[in-house]
Amino acid sequence: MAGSFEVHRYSIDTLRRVLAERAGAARHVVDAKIHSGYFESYFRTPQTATILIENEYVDRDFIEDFAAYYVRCFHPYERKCSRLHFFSREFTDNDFDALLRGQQGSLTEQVLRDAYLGFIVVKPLPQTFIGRTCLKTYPDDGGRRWYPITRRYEAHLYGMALPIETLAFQEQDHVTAACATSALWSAFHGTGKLFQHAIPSPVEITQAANAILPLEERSLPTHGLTVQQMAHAIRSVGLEPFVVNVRDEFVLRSTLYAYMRGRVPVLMIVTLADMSGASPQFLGKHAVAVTGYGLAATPASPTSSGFASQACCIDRIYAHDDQVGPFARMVLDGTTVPVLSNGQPCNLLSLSTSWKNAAGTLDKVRAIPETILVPLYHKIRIPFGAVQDAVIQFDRFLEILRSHGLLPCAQRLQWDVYLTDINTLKGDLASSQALQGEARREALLRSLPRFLWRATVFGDAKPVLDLLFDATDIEQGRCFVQALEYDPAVAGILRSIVSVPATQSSLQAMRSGRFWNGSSQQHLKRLARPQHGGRPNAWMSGVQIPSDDAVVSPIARGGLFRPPPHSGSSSTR
Amino acid sequence: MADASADRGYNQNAEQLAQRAREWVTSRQGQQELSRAVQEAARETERLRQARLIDPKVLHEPVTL
Repeated sequence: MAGSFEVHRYSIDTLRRVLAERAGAARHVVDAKIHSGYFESYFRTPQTATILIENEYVDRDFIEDFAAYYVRCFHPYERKCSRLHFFSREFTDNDFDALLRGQQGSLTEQVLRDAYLGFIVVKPLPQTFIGRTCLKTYPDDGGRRWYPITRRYEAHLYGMALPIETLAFQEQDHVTAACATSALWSAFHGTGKLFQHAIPSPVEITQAANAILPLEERSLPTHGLTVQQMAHAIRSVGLEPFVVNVRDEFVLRSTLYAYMRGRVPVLMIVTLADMSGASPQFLGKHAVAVTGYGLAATPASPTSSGFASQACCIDRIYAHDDQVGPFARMVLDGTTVPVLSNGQPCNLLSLSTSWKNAAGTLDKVRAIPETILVPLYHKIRIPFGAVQDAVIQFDRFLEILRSHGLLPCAQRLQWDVYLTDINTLKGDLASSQALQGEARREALLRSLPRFLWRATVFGDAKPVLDLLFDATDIEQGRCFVQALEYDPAVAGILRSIVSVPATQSSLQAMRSGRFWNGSSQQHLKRLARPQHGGRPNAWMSGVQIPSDDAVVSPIARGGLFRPPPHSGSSSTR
Repeated sequence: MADASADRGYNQNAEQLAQRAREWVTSRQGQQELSRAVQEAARETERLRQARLIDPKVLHEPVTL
């Protein structure tokens, strides 16, 4: 069928021309969009060679928006879109036509798959035409870039499946979707796969959010959502919204890292400020879906106590910003924005953006992070903050020992605290050499809850201990599940000192009473026993080991491992 | 053989550290420093708890850009 597809050699000018033609937009509108600049930069890096245009493409999300709004407009909007596919290999109309005819040639389905960079759906709208966009992420740059929220998509092109690992993006249309809707839509593409829920279209998200709409506002066209409405949209897909204030730099870094490392996308609400004048001009609030982060080689140390964590290495985030593009870079470069808070001048943390200001200048608009909203599976009940507090207290205890030369670690211990699940955890343990023998076997066989907070502490870049907390418990419960010992010397020293009453009374004074107070005692009592089979290590001889602990099961008696705090069945959900 | 020797040395060192650690935590200085560490940790976690708190009015501000 002639006209079903077109093949063009890639150039940014060709892309802009095609976008304008397919959307029915004026060329100057296309050229002025930040997306144009973003795509120019993006498609340069993977050496894009060819654009294949799939005409008459029916996009599920746009057809929902069309049915809800555009079909009832007087202007006859088109309901079909175009889909632009990008390849890093050059080929022509004739090459692709030959492939469709089944003729032997240099272009094969496998060649297309290997060269596939993703697609952009172009909606037939005059201004806001960037529809569902799935583009391959940049390479990880030796572990510097992390995109934990990506998932596998398959673009089906005339019978050929072209897989791509990414997260879908689209621009708000200012009618059925605002920025918050687009951010939610991208986040739901991540959580839909992770937590198994249906992924609503933009208009369905707006309608769900507007179930609690103030009476003075209309539902469609939408002029934006509040955080409360966004939370309501999250509930509508069966997830629980979790809201955190992230004005503090350490809270921002550590909270983003903890959930995203667990593959949960995070919605971030920022205030945009134009810094081109003498004083900042505040433009309003904007929402993005945070989908990745970059790690610097050396961590920043934003806590007064010197608590060191992997999260402090985050020096940039990657966000689906509907006004910029997918995986748009926002850098934590230390620049602050001066404001008056309750009449007092203060400087607020900010991130760079790719926004242009009113004069069309780049690099002048800063994003001040305000709030994050995390869409969580309902069984993830223990908030990160509670675990972080417990870990900071335990770290302080370890640091006082280390700083007096009582732990065999030259440098400050570094923590890696994040959400995980039982399968990921056991997969890590199974593929790692850190645990061996009986300890490894016990760790792999142990029944654990589906979701866990994992706090790994490193000494001189080597893992020392892993503390596991049940993320599905209640804060008043016994969330601390288990410690895995990687460094027998450190574990032995801890065992030897926790039997001393002075240590126990100090630990009792730790004020995180929600779950660490009790469990730290239990953990340290567990450490106070020799590992595995009740046979103390040679260097443990002479160290007093308390024998009273009624809750230790006969199986675990004498070892670090103990039954799970609640009934012991492995979670299947 | 060299590994076994290194392990023995490491274990002896760890044993000595454990003994020193037990003495230190029972000493007056050790108890004072542990107590101070606990207080510092409490201050830090309280600061973080306050920093994470949401001002309820931000929940109702429109996100419009």
